[in-house]
Amino acid sequence: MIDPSWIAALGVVLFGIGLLGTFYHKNAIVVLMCIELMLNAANLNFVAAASHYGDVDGWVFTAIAIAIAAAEVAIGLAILLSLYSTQGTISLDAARELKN
Amino acid sequence: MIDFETVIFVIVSGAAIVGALGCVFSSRVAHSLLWLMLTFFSVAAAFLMASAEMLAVIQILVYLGSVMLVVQFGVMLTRRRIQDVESLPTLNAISALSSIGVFVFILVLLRGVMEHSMWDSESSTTLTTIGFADAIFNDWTMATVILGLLLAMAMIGASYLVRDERLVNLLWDMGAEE
Amino acid sequence: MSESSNEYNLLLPILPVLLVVPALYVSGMESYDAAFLIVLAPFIAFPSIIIAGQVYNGNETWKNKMKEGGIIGLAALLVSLSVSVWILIEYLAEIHHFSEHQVTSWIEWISFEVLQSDYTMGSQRVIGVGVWIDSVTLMLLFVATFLCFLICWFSLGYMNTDPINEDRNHRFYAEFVLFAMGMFGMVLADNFLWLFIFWEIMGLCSYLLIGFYFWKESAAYAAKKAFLTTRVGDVFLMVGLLVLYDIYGSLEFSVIFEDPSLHGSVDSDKLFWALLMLFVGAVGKSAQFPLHVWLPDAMEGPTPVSALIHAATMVNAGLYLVARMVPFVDVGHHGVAGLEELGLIVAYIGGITAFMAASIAFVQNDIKKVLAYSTMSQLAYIFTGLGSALWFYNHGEHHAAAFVFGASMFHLFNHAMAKGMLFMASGSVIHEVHHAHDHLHEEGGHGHDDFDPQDMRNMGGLASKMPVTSTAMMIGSMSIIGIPLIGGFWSKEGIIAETWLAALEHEPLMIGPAILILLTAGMTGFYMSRMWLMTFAGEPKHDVVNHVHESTPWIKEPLVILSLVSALGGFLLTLLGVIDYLSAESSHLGLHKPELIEATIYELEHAFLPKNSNLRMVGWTTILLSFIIGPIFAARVHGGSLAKGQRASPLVAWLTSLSGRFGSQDVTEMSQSSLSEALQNRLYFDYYYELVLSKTVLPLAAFAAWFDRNVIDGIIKKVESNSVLGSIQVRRVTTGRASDYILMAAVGALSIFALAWGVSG
Repeated sequence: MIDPSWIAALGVVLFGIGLLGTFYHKNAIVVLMCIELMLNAANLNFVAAASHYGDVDGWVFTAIAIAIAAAEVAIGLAILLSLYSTQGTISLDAARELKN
Repeated sequence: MIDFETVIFVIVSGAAIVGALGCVFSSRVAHSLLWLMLTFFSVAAAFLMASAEMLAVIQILVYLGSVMLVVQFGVMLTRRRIQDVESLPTLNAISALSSIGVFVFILVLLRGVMEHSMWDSESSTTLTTIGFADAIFNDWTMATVILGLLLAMAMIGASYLVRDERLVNLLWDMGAEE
Repeated sequence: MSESSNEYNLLLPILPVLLVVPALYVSGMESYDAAFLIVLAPFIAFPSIIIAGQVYNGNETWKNKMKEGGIIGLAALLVSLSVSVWILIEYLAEIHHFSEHQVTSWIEWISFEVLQSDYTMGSQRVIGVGVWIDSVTLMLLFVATFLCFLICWFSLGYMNTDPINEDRNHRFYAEFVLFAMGMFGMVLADNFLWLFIFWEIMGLCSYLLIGFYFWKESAAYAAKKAFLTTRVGDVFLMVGLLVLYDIYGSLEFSVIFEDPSLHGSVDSDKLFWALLMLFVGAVGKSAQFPLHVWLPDAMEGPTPVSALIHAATMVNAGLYLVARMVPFVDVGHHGVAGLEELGLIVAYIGGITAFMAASIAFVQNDIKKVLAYSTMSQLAYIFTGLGSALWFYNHGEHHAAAFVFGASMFHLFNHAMAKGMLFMASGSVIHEVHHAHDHLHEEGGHGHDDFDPQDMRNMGGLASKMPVTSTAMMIGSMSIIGIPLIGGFWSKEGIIAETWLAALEHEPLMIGPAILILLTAGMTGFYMSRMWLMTFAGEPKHDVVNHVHESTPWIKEPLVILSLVSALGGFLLTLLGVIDYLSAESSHLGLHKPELIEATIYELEHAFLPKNSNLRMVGWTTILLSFIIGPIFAARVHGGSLAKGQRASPLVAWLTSLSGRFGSQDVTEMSQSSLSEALQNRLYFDYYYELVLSKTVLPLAAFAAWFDRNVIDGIIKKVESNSVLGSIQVRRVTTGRASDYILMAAVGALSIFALAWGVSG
């Protein structure tokens, strides 16, 4: 059995990398993927806590988070497709209609 | 003697991190996708090492099986040519600053998480899948039901968002009365 | 105007008002407690007339039955008159005494604590609302209420028959009534603050009423000029009040006039300056030199306004204020010594104004302007008398002081009655000449444009056409000139005599005013006679005169009443010892000697043959100048009997034929001399004042306007434009790019998290 704190630490590192990715990229799909990465990191944290406390609620939260992430990806892609059909590209730099 | 489990865990976490970095820093979207799949796989492995077998299976099924598929479809449907190389975004002051900030933040967070006082107490209860099922269907029934509803709504919403409006637009352009 | 005889039924609504005083008497109210009604009645009438006038404008009943608010105004003034007569009667019958000078301050209006020099709060100061009644108050109150009432009566006939005033009269009556309230309030006030408040109300109404015909540029200019000139005086008055408050710690008459302990430690220099500033305020209000320039222009207002405000009441406000200075200087009763210069200054201003005004009146052709300058001159007489009184009081000569003070106040009474009537009579003349001209024009007569109904050169020989008016005007003029035995004589003699007494026996510097007013007496004789003769005697100088006829009863009756008062009132009141009463030497009016005949002889002797030989000479010189030399000159220039076949009332007829007997004199050469020209330009006062003002005030005003526009407004505009620029810069955060928004959201969330962690951890 490994120390749950390491699993949580792994989660932290993945979260940071995902955060970096959301700031960095201008391609909407990559941003979505990085968000997924962040969600996974959160799941790791939950699991670590569940393992430590011996409480199964941590697993439940994880399952719920996974389900919600799936739903969110679906809708995100739908929006992305609408954006693509409007402006022809999915570069976030081109989506400037809210400027000023 | 180094603990066998520790070695395995180092390999798994290394794979996860490599996958994440690859996802962020690769120049082609398809490659990002593939690296992400590696990360998900590693995360599933990490779940296994935390004795969360059910979750590992759910992870693989849902993420690797569905989410990645959807994203792949998104990649395919929104590109003129799959093989296009995308230039990575330029580094300007704000992004450099934010990157450094995030890096520092991660380090601080790491220390905070690893040295948190919660890890001091020991617990001995083992978790089982039966317990997990029990929790989901008895203690967390409401959440489960709502989750189902949420998924249904998401599906409906998504399908509405991608409807074909060309006919409607054409008619409107021609000034037809609705 | 045959319907005029039916107009008396318009007065029926007013009759219930006469029941007010009996009702109060029966209910046991004290007369002085009812004094508030004097001010309250016009105060209620003012908004009533305005509101009713706005609502019923153009309504036939309003115009004919209510005379556009005139009846309401008349009713309110009748209330004031009846209450003031009631108070007067009770005081004369000695039901109350002047030891109860001040009626209790009814309410404490402002009360505050003052920070003492040792930083404790102490010494509560109070300014209250109440009335102060003494002999001066009573006389002015009676004059004011009586004249306001009569002139309102007069204006019912004057204003309402002039089509130019149609549908505007309610404003006139409302402003008239407001003015009445101001005058009554000022006279009754028991502290200087209320005096000042009502003083300002009168100034406001004067402005409004002079500018009643505001579409005429001359009228608007005159109203502005009047207000601004009196304002200069008012500023000095305010400063004077402040200094007075500083000296005494209170503005209440009861404190200032009665409390002896305060007077001992008063700095006489400071008091001198305070009183001098008060006097400058009076100079402005009463149109004395050098703030006299507004009064002739004020004749642009309708004639009732000229009669009331600028002859009989408002200009008396300045005199009232100076009269209230007596307790300060009376060394016999807690006064402060060392204020003789004040009396001298007042007397000099009086003398100079009298002489100057009389000389300008020589060349005026407009009948109202002659009367305006005459007012200025006569008021100057009163100021001279008051100056001598102040001087005498401060010197300890109590008897002489009381006499000249009483004489001055009595002259105020005579002048107010006579001048009010003269203005009304001139209004009657102007009114009828104007009407006759309109008639003539209708029948295809002369051109309409340049005819000035106020110009005396268009008149002449009106004595036969307007008997009542001519008699009234004759009596009034005689009163002003000081013809022996008629009205003004009794008071004017007193002033001149006592001023000469002061000059000859006490203070040589007084010789200046003394000589000036003696000469002015003669000049008064000349210009008043000239005015009357030009208007009423001789041949008509313009065809219009042949079509003139007598005025409506609304106009005639006040004239009749006041002529009786002028003619007989002077003598009767002198018999009753009014001069002593007014100066508070005696507390009742009564005969000096037991028998009426003896009293009459005593008075005549006192007037014509005083004991002092100097005075005898002075007295007879005055009579000679004013009665004989002045009028004879006037008769030579303008006199002449009426045209053949014209008949006038007996006394007038005799006068006109008498005036023709003195031969005639051609004065065309004299009237074109440079002196005459200077006088016609009013001695260039207006010119020099405007020059000075345009050099000093206008540049300052221009600078102030520039400062306000560019600096003050500029700062605000800069703030505004800079905040706009600032917000444009802030707006640059909203780039519209999703990646930027993600960044911002993430940074924000993480910051909050870090904060929470740091706080809790």
